[in-house]
Amino acid sequence: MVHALETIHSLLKPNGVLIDMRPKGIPAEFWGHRGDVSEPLGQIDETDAFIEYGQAAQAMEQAVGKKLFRLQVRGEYDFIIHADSFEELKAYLTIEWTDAVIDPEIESRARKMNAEKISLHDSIHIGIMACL
Amino acid sequence: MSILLDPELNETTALFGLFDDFAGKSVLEIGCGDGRLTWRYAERAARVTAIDLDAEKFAKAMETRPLNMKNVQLLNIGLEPFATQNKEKFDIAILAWSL
Repeated sequence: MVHALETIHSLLKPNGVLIDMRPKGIPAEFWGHRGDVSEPLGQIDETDAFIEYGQAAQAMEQAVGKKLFRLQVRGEYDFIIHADSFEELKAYLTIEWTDAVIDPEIESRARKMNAEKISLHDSIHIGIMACL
Repeated sequence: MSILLDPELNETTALFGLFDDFAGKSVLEIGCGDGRLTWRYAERAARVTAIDLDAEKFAKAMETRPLNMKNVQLLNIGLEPFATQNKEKFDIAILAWSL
């Protein structure tokens, strides 16, 4: 990963900017919605992906240490995926989030509240890095 | 309804809230996937080169490409081979969930 950042550095102009957006590594949370009621249903387990998020953060720290980049400003936001049903969201995650493990209890909570909509909230880091 | 990704536009609100200096700039997006983010910022930039090694996602990006995005070059290639053959230096690089 550090090598990738070195490569990106070589592709940027001297005053270039790197925009680094990636999951913070906090387990994303399922929410069930019915009418005006919204309830947390539980968190997703991303197994290997969490390790990769940590490695990505470490690689960026190393790139900063090597004086390739300097953090100018950072922020965060919630990336939210919406679906009409738990089954629909689960099918999507099976394809797109291949490392994700979903506790069956989450699905049963969604059924219990008779959720009309389901959403998954993932906390994302965004860093604006100045090229040095 | 099918799956909706970030219909609240939290991603671009956060991005443009922290950085909105795209005007006249060249952008390299590494790991553009299906182009979801690309189509949201590209019209603000002068030129965008968006690369992704995943052939399926690249095909989807080509498919969903808005007609007015003439300033975007999509390439089905990884970072290292791209860097080897590329001669241009970019103003901005974007790593969106791809480091």
